[in-house]
Amino acid sequence: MTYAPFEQADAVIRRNNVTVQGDEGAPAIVFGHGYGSSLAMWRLVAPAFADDHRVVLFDHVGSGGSDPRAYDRGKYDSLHGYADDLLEIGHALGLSEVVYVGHSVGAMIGCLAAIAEPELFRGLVLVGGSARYVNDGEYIGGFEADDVDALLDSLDANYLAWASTMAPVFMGNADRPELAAELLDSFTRADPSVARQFARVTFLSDLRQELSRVSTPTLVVQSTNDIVAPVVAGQFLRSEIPDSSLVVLEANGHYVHLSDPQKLVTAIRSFVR
Amino acid sequence: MSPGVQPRDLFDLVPCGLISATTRGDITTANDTFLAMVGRMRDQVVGQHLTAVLAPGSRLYFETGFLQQLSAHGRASEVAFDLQLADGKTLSVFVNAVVDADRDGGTLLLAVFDATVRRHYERELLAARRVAERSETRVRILQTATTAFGAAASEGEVTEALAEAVRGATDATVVSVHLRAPDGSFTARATAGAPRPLAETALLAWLDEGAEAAATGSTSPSGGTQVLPNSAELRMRFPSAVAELRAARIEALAIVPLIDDGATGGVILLSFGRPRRLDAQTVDLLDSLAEQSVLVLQRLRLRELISYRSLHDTLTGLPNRLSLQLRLDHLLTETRPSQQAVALLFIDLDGFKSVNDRFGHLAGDTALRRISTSLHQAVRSGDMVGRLGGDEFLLICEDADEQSLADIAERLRSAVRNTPLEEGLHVSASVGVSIHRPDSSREKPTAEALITLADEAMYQSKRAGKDRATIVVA
Repeated sequence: MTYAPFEQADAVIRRNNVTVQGDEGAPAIVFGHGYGSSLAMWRLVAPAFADDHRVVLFDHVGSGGSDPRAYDRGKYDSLHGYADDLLEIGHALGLSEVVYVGHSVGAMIGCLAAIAEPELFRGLVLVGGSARYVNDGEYIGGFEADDVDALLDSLDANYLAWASTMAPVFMGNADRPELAAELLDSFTRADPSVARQFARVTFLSDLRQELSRVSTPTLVVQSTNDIVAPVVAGQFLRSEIPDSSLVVLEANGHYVHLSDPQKLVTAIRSFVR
Repeated sequence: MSPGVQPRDLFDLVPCGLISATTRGDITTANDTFLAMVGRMRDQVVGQHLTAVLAPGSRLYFETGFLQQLSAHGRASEVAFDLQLADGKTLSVFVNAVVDADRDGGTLLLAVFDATVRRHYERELLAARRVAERSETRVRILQTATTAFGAAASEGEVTEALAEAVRGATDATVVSVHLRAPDGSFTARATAGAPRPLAETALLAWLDEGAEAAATGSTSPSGGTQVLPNSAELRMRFPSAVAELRAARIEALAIVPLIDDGATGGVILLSFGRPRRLDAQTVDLLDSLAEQSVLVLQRLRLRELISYRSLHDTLTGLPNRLSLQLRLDHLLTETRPSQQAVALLFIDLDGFKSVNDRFGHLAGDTALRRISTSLHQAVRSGDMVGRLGGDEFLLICEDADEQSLADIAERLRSAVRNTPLEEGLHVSASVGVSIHRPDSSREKPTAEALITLADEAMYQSKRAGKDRATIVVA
């Protein structure tokens, strides 16, 4: 078990808005959110593990309640910067034998972290992941490069609407609108270029060459009806990651942890058993 | 029958698309206007998922933005989407949506407005804003760099400022600046971003090989900025460094040459952790930064050269009179921890004037250069030997007693005597030594006084028959 020096650990925990529930001695399960969301995305899934796990939630830098001053454009120009943060969170909390559950790009960040430091992980659960979103020859990611540009345009065109949407979700307190309003206020002041860069990094990364280096046992969870990460993307992950299996959930869309949380909980449970 | 349009007709005739869908996004109803908008039959729309009528970019936004907005607020207004039309074209629309939670366990009601004109206008605004932002960023980066370059007093400071500016211009994970030594090898001078030692080593190894290749003429110095946008191109370009680049998590590279007087005087390396392309404006900005930094480096080198020249003798390369005086002033005025003796050895070549007369000035100059080399090699490291002018040299020694000074004087005289010169040419030296001992001397002599004393001692040697040394204590 590697503990980081206290002050450093404290800084990491504040930087990534880390929250921990459950007994310190219990097996660790860490949840990593995807693009355009926050740790609040796990509110229907994470509590199901709090009884017998040490449940760790965090926000990627640039998202949710993370420290905006920590956003270094060079560091976060690739998923490696995010993967390094994930490792640092593990060290800061003195975790080992971690089961990491990542959604969407958060899943791919988990792969990079597990390649860099396999000894930290016991298992990976990749929910709605995709090694590459942009089609390339025979590879089907589901999108063309122009589509990603169109998304970036949409982000610009809908930035304020997007921010006002996300605020209550981030707070996880839709029933207390005053909190949401407070966060919305800080959101609309936030730098939209961060959201744009994260979109670029998410949708233009290519991890196909890396997957064979994942040595951690891996569960790939893909849902039908997911237009962001189609089932073929999950099949590709399954075929490239050596020790992996694929579960396809009859679920609704990309956000299975919101649309059908119980199915996801069951899938994770049967994997960690 | 009441006057006006029947509600059912109104639903189909109203000049905006109206749709209902399940909360999962499956379309349950669509009006005629909407069908006309997308150019599809009713059975091609009803029963389909909403994303089926959206262009791919809008699908991504639908999933990652719009749905969250609906689930959080229960409504969304004026969301910009592109519809995918049956003929392959797209149509820009605004969508207002509301969730009716009580109807059939949750129903989405959407109104869709053609927004072609407004979106076109907005796109132009957006494009204009991006151009403005870009040029503002460019100006800011250039200004910051110019200020930093202006304040830089050393190569290190210039290259640090350059690395920071380049990282700011590109969001590269790591930027390193390497300057070329006279032997052609590259040395890393500055790094911005968390350094990756493995990558540095791999790339430096390549750079050195590249320099060798350039020196042997097998590759010409690169003309401009090169971008290797993905790992496939990296593999092709650096087959020998694939493993290192991968371990260092470098998936794209840009190499900016620092062109100095038509040759590659250095390079800037930009490492990226994902596939990256740089657009023409960014490359242009990098070239400007590189160009500016080279001008500053040239200015610093010129300043160094001027300062070197002002302290060295142009004929022999030895420290000149000014240089000797500064050193001596320094030794005599500075309060040093150990009160060490300071000694001067005044060296005058015997009968050198006749050398110029008999063999010509060119031969005289050659002899002076060779003798200078001999003298330089004969002194202890740490002592300074310089040329006062003509055939007069001065050696400044720290911490030497009379016996070792006599030895040094003897070494100098034999160094002069044994310098290989033209056939028939023999030169000897007369030496005068002056010593200042802080503990025994009454007061500190000036540099000038100590030199005069050594000069007088040298004349005593001349008068006593030349080719000898005389020692006096100040």
